[in-house]
Amino acid sequence: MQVFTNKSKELMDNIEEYLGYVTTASLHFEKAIKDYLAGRLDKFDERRKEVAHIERTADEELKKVKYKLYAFMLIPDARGDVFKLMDDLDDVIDYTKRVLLELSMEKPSFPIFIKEDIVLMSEDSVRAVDSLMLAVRALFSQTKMVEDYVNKVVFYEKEVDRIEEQIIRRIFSTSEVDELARKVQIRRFCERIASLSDISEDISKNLLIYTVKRMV
Amino acid sequence: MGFELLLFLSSGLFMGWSLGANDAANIFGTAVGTHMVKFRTAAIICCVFITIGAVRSGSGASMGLGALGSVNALAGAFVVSFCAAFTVMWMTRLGLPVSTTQAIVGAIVGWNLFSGNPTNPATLTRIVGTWVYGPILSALFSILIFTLVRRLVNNSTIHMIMLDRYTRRGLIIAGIFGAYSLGANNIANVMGVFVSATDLATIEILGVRFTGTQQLFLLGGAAISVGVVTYSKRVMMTVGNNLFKLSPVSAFVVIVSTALVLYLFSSQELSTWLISRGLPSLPLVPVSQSQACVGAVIGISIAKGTYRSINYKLLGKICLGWVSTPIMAAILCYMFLFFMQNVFMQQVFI
Repeated sequence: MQVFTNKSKELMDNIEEYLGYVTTASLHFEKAIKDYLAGRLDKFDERRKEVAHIERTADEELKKVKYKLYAFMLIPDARGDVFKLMDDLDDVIDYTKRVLLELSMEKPSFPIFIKEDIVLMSEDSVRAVDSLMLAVRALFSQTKMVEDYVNKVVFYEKEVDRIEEQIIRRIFSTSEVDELARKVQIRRFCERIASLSDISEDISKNLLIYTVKRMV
Repeated sequence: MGFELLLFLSSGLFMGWSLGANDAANIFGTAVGTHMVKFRTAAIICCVFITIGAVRSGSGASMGLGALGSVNALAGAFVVSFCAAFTVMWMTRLGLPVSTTQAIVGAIVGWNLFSGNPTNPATLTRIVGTWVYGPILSALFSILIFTLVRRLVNNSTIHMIMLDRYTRRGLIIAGIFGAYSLGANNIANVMGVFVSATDLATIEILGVRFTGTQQLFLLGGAAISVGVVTYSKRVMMTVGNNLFKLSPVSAFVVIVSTALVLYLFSSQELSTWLISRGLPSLPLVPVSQSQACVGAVIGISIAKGTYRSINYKLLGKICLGWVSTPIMAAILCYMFLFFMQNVFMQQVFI
């Protein structure tokens, strides 16, 4: 009988491993941004490659999770939600990979006076991802905590928005950056870094719905 | 068993088939419909435990039914069982939620009227009373169990996937209890009327002694099992996907609550235990599993605070069934007994 096999444990391990990849990718992202801004381009490139590798491995793990969810007929009432959640989390890894890749290709030059703010912004973006991952884990085993973690995601997203606006205002009002194309490029990268927290917030809002559905 | 006996038992066997096809879905409908439990597993559990419940504990409810009217001729028992089955079939076609218990009680009263056997009003009131407080008791159990389960699940740190695993196991264990209780309680509807009309000698199969009544119940259990294997899958899928959209945890609560009610109304051990301690015991009579099930679902709605969504039209139909089903079965049985006696020249009572 399927009920007495250990498919449940296997799936739990797969999900846990996958969530670990999302967290690791976001941590590498933060370090990579710091390396880039500090001019440590070799280290930045190593991190970028590491994130690309994590993205590939996470994709493999995601396939296993999706397969096991449906092939073993596990959690029938929450299967669709977990499937969508795992897919959405894939966007977080994809996004970190893409931003780092674009940075490595375009190599934008950031003026010194905004570097500290960009570091703060990337730190808060990663904190938003971190809180999201705690909320996701809480969905699986401590539903009452989900809302607390989601509130943190929302808080960090607002912080990131505030810093982003501040940076963009400064870029467009300074004479240190004279070319409009450069201003636009810097703004685009700021928006990209900030988007990580936006993605986290979107996923966390869905999490609240999944939580209500999960409550008995 | 002779051919004549089997021929007269055929109406009871048909009733058993119908019970297996329909009532097994009340136990495993949601579990199978949502793929929490495989149909094969559900069918094996139903066949085995309904039969064990019928043979081991079926006599209590059967005697309760016998107290209403002891049908003493085989042809009479055939008519009673046939009319009950026919009423169930007819009412189902009319879309009314019908209970085999109510049909068989009505048919027995019809036999009493035809044979001049007095119907004990106290016994009748006791049986009819269970139709009302069976679903109410089931709703109360369901409120209690659901509240406990909800507190346990929502406050625990059990991983969602492990909870799913425990729920599957819970559904199987609850299903075993549900099947056993169904066999113990509802075998009276299938074979109860034949108990006084047949006189089978005790036999021994594989070292186990079976009395005449137990042989009848074993046969009834086999008929129920055939119903489960041949037709219940379709009903389970309908129950699981269309009628009640229950979560697996709610399904577990419904099965346990329903099974508890059926068990309370069929357990001789419990009844003896209560009487020995000077406590009031519940009458051992067959109760409607479907209506106990509806009671349990309503109980969950109340516990969740969503009782405004209760289908009062369905409730009204159930209450209507308490009156219309036995009356129709009684009239039908009276007419068929007349035909059996005067057209087919069979002795329908002694």
